[in-house]
Amino acid sequence: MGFPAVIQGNEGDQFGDQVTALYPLGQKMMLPDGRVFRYALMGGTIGVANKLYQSEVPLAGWLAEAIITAIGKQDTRIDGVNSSQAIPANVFDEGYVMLEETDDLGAIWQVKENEIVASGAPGGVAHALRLKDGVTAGVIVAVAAGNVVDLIKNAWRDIIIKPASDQTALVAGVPPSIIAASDWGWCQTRGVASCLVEGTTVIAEELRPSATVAGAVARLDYGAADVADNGPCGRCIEVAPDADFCLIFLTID
Amino acid sequence: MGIQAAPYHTHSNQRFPLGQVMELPDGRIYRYAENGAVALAAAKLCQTMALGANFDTLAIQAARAVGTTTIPFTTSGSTVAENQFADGTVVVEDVALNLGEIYPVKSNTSAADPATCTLTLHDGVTVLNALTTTGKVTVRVNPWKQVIVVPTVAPSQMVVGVPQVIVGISAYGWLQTHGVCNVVVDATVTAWVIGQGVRPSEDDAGGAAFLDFDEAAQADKGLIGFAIIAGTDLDFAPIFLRIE
Repeated sequence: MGFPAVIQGNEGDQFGDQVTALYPLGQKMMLPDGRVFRYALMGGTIGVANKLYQSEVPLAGWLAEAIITAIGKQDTRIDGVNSSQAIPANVFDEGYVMLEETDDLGAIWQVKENEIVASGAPGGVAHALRLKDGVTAGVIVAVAAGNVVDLIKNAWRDIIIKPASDQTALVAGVPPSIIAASDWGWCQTRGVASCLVEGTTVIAEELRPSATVAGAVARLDYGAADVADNGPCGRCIEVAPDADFCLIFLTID
Repeated sequence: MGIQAAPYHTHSNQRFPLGQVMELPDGRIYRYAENGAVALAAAKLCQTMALGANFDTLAIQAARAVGTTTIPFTTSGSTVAENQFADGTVVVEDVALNLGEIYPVKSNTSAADPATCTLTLHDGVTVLNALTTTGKVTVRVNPWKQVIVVPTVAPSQMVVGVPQVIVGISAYGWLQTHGVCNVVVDATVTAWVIGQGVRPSEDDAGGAAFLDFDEAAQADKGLIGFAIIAGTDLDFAPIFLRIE
C-alpha cells in the first residue's frame, strides 16, 4: 500500500523545502487543527510563500493520444503514440491516464511510471505507461488500437503561481513557505491560511482566484459576470487591505 | 484507506456499510454504494434514489422518553420494506417541540400503508429529548442506497458520486466523491474552461457542464468539481471532483 492515505503531521512539518522527494507527489498531510497540505513539486521558477498556486497548463500534445495496441482486461500498461510532445521520464508518475472516447466507457487509472519520449515527432513515437501496482485495465470490451487517451500530470507536479488573470489550470493551493525551483514542499489546500488578497473582501463570504493579480484571491461576488466563474477557493476570515495578506479558510481540497 | 485496485471492484453481496468512506493515497475519496434496478454506467454522475415526499413530516406513533432506542412513526402514502432505512437517518422536525436532533438508523420493521414502522437507532445511540405524538419526523435512506444515474434536465436528489466501472443491477461498488475523476462532458451550450467549475448537466444524463454563474437556473445546480482539461462534448474528460 505504501504511504498512508493521510499523514498526521505536527505543526511545523509544513514548512521548508526538500531537494529530493520525501513522499509521493500529491501526498496528503493533515495537521491537528485540520489544515490539509499536499506534497508538491515546484515548477522551474523559485516559489513565493503565501500566494495562490495552480497546476501547469495541460499540454495539448499529451491529450487525445492514440494507443498502439488494444487494451485488454488484464493489461497493466498502456502503450501510446506520442506525436507532438516530448515526455520526460516519469513525468506522469502519480498522474492519470484516461480513456476519452464515449465507447470506451471513461476508465481512468493512476500511473506508476512512464517511459521517455525524447522529442515528439510527426508520425509518432511509442511509449508506455505502467499502472499502479495491483491495478489491471479491467475493461469489459477491449479498447481498440487507435482509440485515444489523455495523459494528465499529478495536479501538484510543476506547480506555478496563478497568473495575473483567471486561473489557467486547476488551483493547487498555497505554499506556506518558499520552495526553490524544482524542489519539493507542502502546498496548503484546506483550513486557515495566509494568502495575498486583491481588492476589498467581506468577512465570512467566499473568495475566488483573482482575475487580475498573480497569486492573489479576491471576493467571490456571484453576481459579477465572468469572474465569478473562477469559483470558490475559500472563505474570508479577516478583511485585509488590498495587496496585503489576508486570512482565508481554504476549501480547495 | 484503500488499495489502488479497490475502486474497480464490484460485489454481488454487501461487504461494507453503505456510505463507508475509502481514501486512496493520492487523496481520491470513495463511498460504498448499492446500485438500484438499472446497471450503472461508468464515469457518469449518480444521485440518491428518488424518494418523493411520502417520508417527510410523518407522525410519531407513540411517545418516547429520553434514553429509548426506538422511534415508531406512521407511514403515509408508501409502504416500507424491512431495513429500507438501515444506515439512513431520522430527523426530528418540529422547531417548537425539539432541537432538530438527527439519529442514525440501524434497522426498521416493514410496514403497510398506513401502519406503524419502528426504527431502531444505531448501537449506543438513544433519544436525547423526549418525543410526543404531536411531533413529526422525517426519515431518509442512506444517500448511497440504490443510487441511479443523474437524469437529464436536473438531479432529483443529492448527487453522490461517480463509479469508475459498470456496477450491475442491485450490485455494490464504490462511487468517487473527491479527487481526479473521469466524467462525461456536456459542452452543448458552453465548453468547459480549464481550472473553472462544472455542474450537473441539463442535457446529458450523468454528464457535467460548465458552471457559468450567470446562467439562469442552471447555475443553481451548484459546483461539483473543477475541469482539468477542456474536454470534448459527449466524450469523457477529467475533473477534480468536489462532491465532498
